[in-house]
Amino acid sequence: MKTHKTSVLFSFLCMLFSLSLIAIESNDKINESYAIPEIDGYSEVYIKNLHGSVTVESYNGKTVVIEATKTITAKNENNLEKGKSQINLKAYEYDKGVFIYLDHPCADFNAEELELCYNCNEHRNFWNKDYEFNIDILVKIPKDVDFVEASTVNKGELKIQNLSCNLNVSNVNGSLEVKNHSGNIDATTVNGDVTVSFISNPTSYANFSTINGTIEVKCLKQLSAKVNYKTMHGDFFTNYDNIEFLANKLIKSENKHHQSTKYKLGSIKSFKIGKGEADFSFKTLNGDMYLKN
Amino acid sequence: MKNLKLIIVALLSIIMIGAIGQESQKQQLIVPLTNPDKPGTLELGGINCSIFVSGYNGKEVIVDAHTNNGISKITTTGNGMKKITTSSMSIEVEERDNKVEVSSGINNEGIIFEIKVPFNFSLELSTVNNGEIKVENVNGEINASNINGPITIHNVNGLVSASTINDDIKITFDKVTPDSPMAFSTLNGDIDITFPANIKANLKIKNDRGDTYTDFDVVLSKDRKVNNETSKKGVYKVSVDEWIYGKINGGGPEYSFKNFNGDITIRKK
Repeated sequence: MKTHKTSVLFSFLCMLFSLSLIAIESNDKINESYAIPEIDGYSEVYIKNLHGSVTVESYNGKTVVIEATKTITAKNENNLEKGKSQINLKAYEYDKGVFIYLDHPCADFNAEELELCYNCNEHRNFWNKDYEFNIDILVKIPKDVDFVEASTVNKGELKIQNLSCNLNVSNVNGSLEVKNHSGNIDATTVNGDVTVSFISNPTSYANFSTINGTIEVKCLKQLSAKVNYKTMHGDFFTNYDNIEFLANKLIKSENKHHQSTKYKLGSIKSFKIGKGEADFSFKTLNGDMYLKN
Repeated sequence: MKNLKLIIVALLSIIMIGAIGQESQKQQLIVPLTNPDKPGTLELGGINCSIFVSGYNGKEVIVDAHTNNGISKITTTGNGMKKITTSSMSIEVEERDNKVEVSSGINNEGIIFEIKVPFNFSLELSTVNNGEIKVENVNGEINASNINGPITIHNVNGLVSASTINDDIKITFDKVTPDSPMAFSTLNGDIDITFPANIKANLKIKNDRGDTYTDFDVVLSKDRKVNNETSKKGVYKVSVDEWIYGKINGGGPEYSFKNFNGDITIRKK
């Protein structure tokens, strides 16, 4: 009988404890659209996320359309409201385009330089354990935008589809996927794969880098590129036929202080496909690299 | 007979494929010296490398490096993709006041260095695995150390100190710098040194399990050194020095030879 009582008490305590652990969650939809100014026929779009995914698509419209889902998770109502008011998508519209970013108590946005950083060391009053947040952003971009920069850091993938512009994409803890792209590209992540496919080959540059992940790039058959690659534990694979190895560059540097001269043959390897016009660069530490047609 | 022909053709083609596969491109660095008319020093230390140094009639240091696998090649893999292999070799050479220092980056494959230096050059060379050290036609001071490979030095004019653990040391001198000591030591290899006939030297030899040969007229000293030691705890210890001492041509600087499991040969040129 006594054991029965204690077990009831115990389960009651357990329930109390687990109740206190149940988090409350709020989901908000954000729908916005921004007009694109076109001065001298040039326009650009920046999308900067911190926690969550970013998907960018091209569409037949004239404005930049944002469809986002904001999810805030907290343990009590107070913190939930705090999160809802502190986490927002903000947009800065200027003469060349629009800069959309995740606003956060730690965010420092410099409108003149178009620089954004999340610096929680300088905002000590912000206690980031009150709530958790995640924003998944879908952006639709008009076809004639010339430059797009998209980035996220945690908890999400970065997906870009059907754009024809110069592109700068970066992720940190997640993968990066660019489909049917046409134009030059800079693609960087740290922990994740980089997958890029082109519908027309880049004409001047294409840079891909990751630390822990595979890089897979698909180009058209008629590629004219100079490929530099650097890896520590990976291999480079390709199915292009017309490969010509290039001599390693000799770097000479003089140290006036020690009156010494250094000559260095670095370990970046390079080869040429076709005429070698566009500069391709692949960098990874732990992962293979593929260049296919 | 037909079979034999077939075998020969097959063998030939295998050899040819092998030759193509082993084709290796060289990386070359040419390093001019600050004072081309003065003697210089070359310093090269590696873990997995072979080092070949030869003196030539020129004023620059020429560093050629390649790996066993060659520098770049394309191999076909099963799924239609080709694997591109280039070595992770990177070389850095620093020249400062006629002192040339060669270093290589992290490399698992092993690098083969072929270096040409002006005749008057001193060398400081060391390696550990998978390689040999070979030096030719150099006038200067040579300091070589190898752990698991041989040291071979030919036609040197100057002085040498060489040590290995598991392989042989073979040296032929054209001339020796007078009044300078030298040392040669190994553990599991043979030591074979050829000196000019007119050298003056004090020999100091220790050979635990091998034999020592020479065609010089060596005057051995009969006394053995006895060491008396008293340790701090008051223990008194007497030990007999195991080195053998001898003199060539009346004696001179000390040449020391040390071996454990191999022979020592001291030849007259």
